[in-house]
Amino acid sequence: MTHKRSTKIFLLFLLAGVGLVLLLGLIPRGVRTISAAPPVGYNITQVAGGGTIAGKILYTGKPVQPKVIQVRQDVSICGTTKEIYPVKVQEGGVAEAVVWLDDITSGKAFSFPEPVIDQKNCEFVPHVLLIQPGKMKVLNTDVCSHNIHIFSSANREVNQSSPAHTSPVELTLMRPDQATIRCDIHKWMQAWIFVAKNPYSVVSGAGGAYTLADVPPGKYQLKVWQETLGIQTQEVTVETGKTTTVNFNLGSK
Amino acid sequence: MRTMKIKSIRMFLALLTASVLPSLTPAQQMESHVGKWTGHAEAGKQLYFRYCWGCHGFRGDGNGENAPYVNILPRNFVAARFKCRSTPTGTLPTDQDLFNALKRGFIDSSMPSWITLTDQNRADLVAFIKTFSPRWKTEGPGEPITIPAEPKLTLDSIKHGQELAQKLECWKCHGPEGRGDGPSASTLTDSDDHPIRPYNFAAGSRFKCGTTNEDLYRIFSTGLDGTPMPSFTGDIKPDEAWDLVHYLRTLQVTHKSPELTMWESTKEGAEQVASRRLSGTATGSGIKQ
Repeated sequence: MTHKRSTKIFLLFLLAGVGLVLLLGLIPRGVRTISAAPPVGYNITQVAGGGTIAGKILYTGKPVQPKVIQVRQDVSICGTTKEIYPVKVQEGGVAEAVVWLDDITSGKAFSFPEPVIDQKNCEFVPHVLLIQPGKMKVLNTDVCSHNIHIFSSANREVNQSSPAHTSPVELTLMRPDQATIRCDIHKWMQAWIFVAKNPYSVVSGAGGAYTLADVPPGKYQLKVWQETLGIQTQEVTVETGKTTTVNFNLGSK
Repeated sequence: MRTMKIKSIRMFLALLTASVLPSLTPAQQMESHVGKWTGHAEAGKQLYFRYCWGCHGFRGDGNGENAPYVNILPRNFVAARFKCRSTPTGTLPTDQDLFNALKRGFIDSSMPSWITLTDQNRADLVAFIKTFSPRWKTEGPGEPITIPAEPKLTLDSIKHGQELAQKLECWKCHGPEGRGDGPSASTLTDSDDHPIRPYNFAAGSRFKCGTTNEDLYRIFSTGLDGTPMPSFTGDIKPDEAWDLVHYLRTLQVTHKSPELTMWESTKEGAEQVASRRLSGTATGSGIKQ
């Protein structure tokens, strides 16, 4: 009798276990392997009674030394030397860093400058371009050939030639990421295209100053990114009609 | 009675196992379609772990045990970046492109031509290679570029091709004589920052992605992704592209092509070809900078 019952219990457990394995196997596994980011997880709404975040990106590390490159080709266009600064420090502040609210899901509309990057005197101008997910243009105002090579972990790698006197190259970057743009012909040519998650993103200006306006009141994760110093995060609370000051210190000793 | 019960349980379990296991390895269901052949990843897996993994690695990431000893590194299938494509830059190649690469091999690299395998084998391998990157599930291959029929070879075509090569500044990397010794040649790196050499036209008749004029047309139109060679689609009109093909053939001074013969029959062409008869390797090693 007990023997029979234990067999039954054993069978029951066995069936339950097997059923579980079967169920697990039925879950579509493809879903788990795909890591495609949504285009923008962001809704545009009317912002009433927003607050402002302002501050400075500071630098107190060692003095920044530029990497000096001897140019051996296209000297008449590129110049004889190029100075590459890993960090652009002006008056103790870091310019060309990007500050953004990482976890905001609704708010104002995008109003970034025109998504255009130029190749001028064998340099990308601007050095950091902030765009919203979508199309952008690459110009070539030099009288020599360049090639536009995009490296991005979230978007596709693209390599398009850009000879002199040709129409601008149009690129599509749909996924938020810090993409690198390079020219292989002129090895020192490298810049960044910051594909923003939301309009609350800004490139720091002279002296490392930045301002994010019309932020709906609330608590957010404020992030800063610089090409060689990486990312830092701070929590920020925004109140109606007030300016919250948040300073970052990148590269402290 | 009891033995029957145990037997039925065993049967039940065996059936369950058989039905559950394939669903645990969904990647193996990938297929490829090349002409009349349909490749199956399950079959390709067996071949991969016999012939390919020594270089391309257990995970298909190009880190096989032989990888450190080969000069041109094995392809990383996880990155899904392919040089020889009929599709635009930034898109995945077609099954046919991968199939052709297996059949052809890659000159001046350690990747042989897999002529010992059957077409079915190669189709199976293509299907398995596509299981290494999720990109094959989220996006299909790009739309292959259209190549117009090759016009008749003329001297004007070669001359116009030469002007075009000058305008597009192919010489920046490939050198004024196409020997892979241009001013940018020594600084070039691939997308993983490994040094890479531009193609040396003077060294032979074959290109990385084929041997025909159409292959050459395709190479500069789509670019070789993962390398500094960009796509020239949009910068060259289709008929002009054939002119460029005709001119580039004359740079292959060791290969008796119809283009070279025609070019050498002119005084200007003969002088240029004579000055270019210098030896080198297709990968451009031995460049002095």
